[in-house]
Amino acid sequence: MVDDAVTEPAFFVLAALAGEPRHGYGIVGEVDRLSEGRVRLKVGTLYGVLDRLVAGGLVELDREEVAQGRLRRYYRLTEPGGRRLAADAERQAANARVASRRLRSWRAAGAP
Amino acid sequence: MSAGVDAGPGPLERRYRALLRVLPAGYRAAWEDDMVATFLAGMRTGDPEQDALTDDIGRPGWGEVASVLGLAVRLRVPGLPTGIPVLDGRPAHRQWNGALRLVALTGLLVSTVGAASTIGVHLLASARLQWLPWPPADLRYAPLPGLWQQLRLSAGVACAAAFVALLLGQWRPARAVAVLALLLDGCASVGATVEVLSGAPLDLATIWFAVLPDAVVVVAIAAFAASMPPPRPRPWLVGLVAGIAVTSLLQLASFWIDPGLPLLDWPGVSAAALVVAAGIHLAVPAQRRGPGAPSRTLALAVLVAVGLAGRLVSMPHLAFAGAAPWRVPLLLVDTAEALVLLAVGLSLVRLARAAARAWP
Repeated sequence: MVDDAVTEPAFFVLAALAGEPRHGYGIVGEVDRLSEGRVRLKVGTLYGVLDRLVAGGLVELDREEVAQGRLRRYYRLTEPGGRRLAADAERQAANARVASRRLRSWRAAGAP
Repeated sequence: MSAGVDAGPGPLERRYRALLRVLPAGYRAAWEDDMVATFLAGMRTGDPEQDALTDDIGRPGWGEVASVLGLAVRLRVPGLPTGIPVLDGRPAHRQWNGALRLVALTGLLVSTVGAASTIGVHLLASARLQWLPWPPADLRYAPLPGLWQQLRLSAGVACAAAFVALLLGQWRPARAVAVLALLLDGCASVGATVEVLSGAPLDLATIWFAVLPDAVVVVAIAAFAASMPPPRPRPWLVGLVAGIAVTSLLQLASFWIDPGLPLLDWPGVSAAALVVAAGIHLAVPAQRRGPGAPSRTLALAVLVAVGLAGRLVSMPHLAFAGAAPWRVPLLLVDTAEALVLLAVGLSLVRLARAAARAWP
């Protein structure tokens, strides 16, 4: 009775970190870019997701830097996080393939 | 490290940190500075004049406020799905998740029973059902007067729709309708407050308390997730029919004994049902309790807490405005109900703690 897939915000946070370690604001921007504007993370939502991803071992702290007088934390994807992202990506791709095949048949059958 | 410049945090940062105070202290210690840095970075436009103005008069937007409030609820309510399988699979999380789903279903069941029995009793007692031989003319009474009572009843109907949606596995529509029920009950309470200000002798505390179970249900429904199988409908439908039958009979009997005597009010009916359910649960020997027993214990503990609060909230009005000579006997009955609920609740908490010690 457990949801097998990560949520969409968590999926995009993992994807954003797959390229390189990022800080919070960098994650927000990258998620916005990857989702083509569909997923716009508020800070409360982002850190709720980050907290759960860190607690679940899918993301970890990479380093801390001081920028403009503020402590800036960078996060990176862990090995289990990479496997989870790959599994979710494959699941979504498989769903898309099924839907595309069915749509081709539906159109070939003379759909309106 | 939180101060950006020697002058200390600016007004915008102070406002955002004030918003973050709704989060638990432990969470703030770990994440607050990071959140503040990300929030402030997001408010920058690159134009120094605009940024200075934003620092001075800017505020977190409503979307940001909602996200922080939502995070505060998520952090404080155990058992809500995290979307992270390794976290959702922990025994404590699974038991709390099961408890929340039971609380949501039970809360909606109770509201549905209340609405259905109220509608049925009023149709019957107002002689709208002409093909029935009773009630006698001198025992008939008018249907629901007043806008706020009708809003309250509409909230109950919305809860019934949410209940059916949950039984069908449609938790998102169920949550949307449960939010509607909460809003309708809130509007009903506002309407009743207006009547009280006009002199109506209503129990405002009980009227406003009615919003709490709706809020508990709205939060608890979030424990459902798309991949979870829907609950088995049969036990809930049996409970619905039995609840409507018993509650309707009790309402009619109470009214026909003495219309001015609130012999059996809603907190009393709820208390009786909770005590019976908890008694049955507590009577099961430990070795016969199944894997879902801790969830049931936790759910009953939450429901008993809400029931106890409802009983206590209703008592001051009875103490000061209840009709004599029934005031003292009814207060004694209500006090006894509250004490029994307290004893039952403490037993459930003890049982839940004992079960929790076995979780890794």
